[in-house]
Amino acid sequence: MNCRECRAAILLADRAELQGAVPGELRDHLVGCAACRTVTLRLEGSTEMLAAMHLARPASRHAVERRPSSRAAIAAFAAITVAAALLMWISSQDRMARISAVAPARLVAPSGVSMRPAVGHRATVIPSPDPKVTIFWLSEGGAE
Amino acid sequence: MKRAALVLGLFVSAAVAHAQSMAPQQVAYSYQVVVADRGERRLTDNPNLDALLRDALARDSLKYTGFTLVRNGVMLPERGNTVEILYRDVHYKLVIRAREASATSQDAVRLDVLLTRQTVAEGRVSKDGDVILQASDVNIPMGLTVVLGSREIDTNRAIIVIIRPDVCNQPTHNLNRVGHTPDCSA
Repeated sequence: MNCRECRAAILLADRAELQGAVPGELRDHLVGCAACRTVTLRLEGSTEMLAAMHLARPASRHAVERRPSSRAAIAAFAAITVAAALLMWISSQDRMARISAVAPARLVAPSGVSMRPAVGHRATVIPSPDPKVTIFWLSEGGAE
Repeated sequence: MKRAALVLGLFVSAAVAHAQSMAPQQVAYSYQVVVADRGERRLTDNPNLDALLRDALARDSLKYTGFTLVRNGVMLPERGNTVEILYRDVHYKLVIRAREASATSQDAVRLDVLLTRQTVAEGRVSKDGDVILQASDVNIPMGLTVVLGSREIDTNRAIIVIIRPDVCNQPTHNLNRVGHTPDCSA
């Protein structure tokens, strides 16, 4: 594996692979290449930061949720949330029938084929007239 | 004595059959690279694929109506995992790499698929380096086909990679609508 292949592989690698926990060509290359190791560490750092942000979010929401003093306020909030979710679901049904999913992580088609696009890309499943053929469309940008 | 020989013969036959069933099976990847545009060009050599792509991609916001086969073939991991294609002054490189060493499972294979592009001008490769058109980690049940499409240069052109894994020593003669049974002896 050369540096170019390594940089491409890094985009697709699991965290365990980035951390060198999985034997293979990627780990072998990272052991001997300081430049690619630096890229990997930066990517790992970004992932850590995102994870920290993600973990911090539920905590702050929890703090907000503790503030309402009456059960009625909580019930009203829940009802509004459910209604909003229902409206969004109904309005998206037609679109979802044609383009079945947009996911930032692993996308699984009804056929059992699954895929995960590289960082910075997103994928959609396009309905296929042949059940043995699964069509993914890739585009730039994160998940919607 | 005859009975002992018979028992030994049966034992050896059973052992051979077991060894054959446990032997790693070679997986081949049938691939096709297709450029899609707004034109009317059809895949005359593969009308089934043409119809499928036309049906799936001509609608929604994609609206691709013309398809040109750039390259097709069968990739055998033991003979390399990279295909280089020169098409209209653009140098494409397709890499299909089995992610797991035990990618000989009957059930599915997990592949890293990478497609890059490099412009060639006056016989020289552009200094801009490779542009990654597609990079994905795909898990495909054996015998199924996956079509990976992405916009290429502008809104009018897209590039499509079609892959189907098959176990070599169990070629299916019931052809799928897309692709061909891999010839592992090639």
